[in-house]
Parts: sequence; structure tokens; C-alpha cells
Amino acid sequence: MGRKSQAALEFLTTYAWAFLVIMVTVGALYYFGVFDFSKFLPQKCLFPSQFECLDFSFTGNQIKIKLVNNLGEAINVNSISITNDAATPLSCTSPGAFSGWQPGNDNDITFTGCTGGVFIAGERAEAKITIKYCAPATTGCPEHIVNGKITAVVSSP
Amino acid sequence: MIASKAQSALEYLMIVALTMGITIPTAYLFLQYSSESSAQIIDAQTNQIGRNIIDTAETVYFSGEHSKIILELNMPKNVDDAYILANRELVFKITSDVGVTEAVFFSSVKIPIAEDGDLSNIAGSGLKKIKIQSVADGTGGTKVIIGKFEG
Repeated sequence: MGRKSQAALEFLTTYAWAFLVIMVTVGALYYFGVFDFSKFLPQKCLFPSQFECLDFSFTGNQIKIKLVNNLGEAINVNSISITNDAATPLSCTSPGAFSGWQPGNDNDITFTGCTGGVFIAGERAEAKITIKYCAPATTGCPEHIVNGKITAVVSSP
Repeated sequence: MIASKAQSALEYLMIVALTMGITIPTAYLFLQYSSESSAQIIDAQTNQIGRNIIDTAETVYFSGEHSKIILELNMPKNVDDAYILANRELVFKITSDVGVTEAVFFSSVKIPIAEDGDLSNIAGSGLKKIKIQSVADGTGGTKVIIGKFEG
């Protein structure tokens, strides 16, 4: 009886060791990003079709996007901001407000001096962009908000 | 005998591991693609509905006072609110994983539009009937009122 229980305990101990080794190996692979499948996803720029995203780039410490005004109405952009969900969120110098963005015209928007938010050359980064705008032809120019998201690999300058 | 059993057990585990190794990344990539497609579909549907309402409002306006059209629209999910601002901006408030976005549709400057009751009733997914009616604006002109059709 004693021998059988010893054999069973040794069997379980061996199992536990094997399990531990597997867990450590999987943990190490996870740490080194082997299971980060998001790198297989394409780079993308998601904006509503009213602000169609024509092009985008993450280069050095700059983020550039080219948007088209598909609202069918001239607008004034009151503010543009950028962030992401990282522990230290992405922070950039945003372009200032501008007016007279005519319908059908595209506009290059450039954020400079980007820091934080895992914005590192060679790494995949995400940026959430918020644009606040109004149509001057409307009485009182009521402000509206539009949000977009860019996911791309940061390239060296 | 024992070696044979151990070999088959190991082969079984290897097949399970290989299957999991293929299935999990594929499922992840599929979910990512489908969520992006879903956002694009909602955007396209909202745009079509907004343009349809504004075009109908313009038709009703030029058809003259008391003309009326009932639209049947299939509202997509994620449209949380709908309202009219400054008598010319039809706004749909849409929530997505990126945040809250307003889809704005402008009527012609000369065509005033207004809410008939609470337009937020048309928010939420499903088939909605919308009444678009041309009425007197009280100053000798005409305006178009837009609201949920109760009938």
C-alpha cells in the first residue's frame, strides 16, 4: 500500500514538474511576443466615410494622416487631439485649429513630437484621433465630434 | 505495450497542440477583420439613412405645404441618439469601439428642418417609420418637420 502511494506521488510530482516547465516556456514565449498575433493584421486607418482616410504614416516621432471632407459642407476644425489606450498614453503636439475646409478637399494633418503610447520604431502602435468641427453656414456653428483610429508600424525617420 | 501507448498518447497531444496552434490565431484574426467590417457596414447604413432623410425632406419642401412622406428605414445598431440642430443639421450619435462619433447631414440652407416630437425615438436598431412633413413655419414660409411615425 505504502509503495503504491509513493509511486502515485512520484508520478504526480513528475507531472507537476512537467506542467511547471511548460508554463514557464509558454510564459517566456508570450513575454517575447510570439503569441502577439496582431502583428499579422494589416495596417489600417478607420474613420467614418464623412472623413475618409486616404493615407497615413507613423514615422520617427510624427504621425501624418490625409483626410477628405466628405460632409458636403465647408467646415471649421476647432481642435484635433490624439491619444491611445497604453498605460502611458500617446502624446503629440497637435495641429492648431483651422477654417475653410471645403467639401471634397483633402487635408494633411501632422502630429509632431510624439512620445509614450508604445510609439517605438519597428513596433506596432495605435492612435485614436478626435476631431471637433463645426459648419460655419449653420447658425451658431454647433460643434460636432468625430473619432478615428490608426494602427500602423512605426518606421524609422 | 507501454511504449506503444505512450507513443500514441504523445501523437494525440501533438495533434491537439497543432490544431490549437492553427485555430486560435485564425479565430483572433477573423474576429479582428469582422469587427472592422461591422464598423464599416454601420457607417455605410447610417450614411444612406441620413442622406435619404435629407433628400426626402428637400422633396417634401418643394412639393409644398401639407405634403408628407413616410420612410421605412432599417436603423443599424450603435446609433444611440438622433436630433436636429439649428434647423438644418441632422445628427446621428454613433458609439463604436473608437468612441462616440456624430454623423452629420446638412440640409440646404434655405430648407429649414425641425424635429416633430422627440427624434431620439428613431435611435436603436430595427425597422423604424419616419414621417417627413412640410408645414407652415408661422412666418408665411414653409418648414419640414421630421419625426417618428406613430401609426
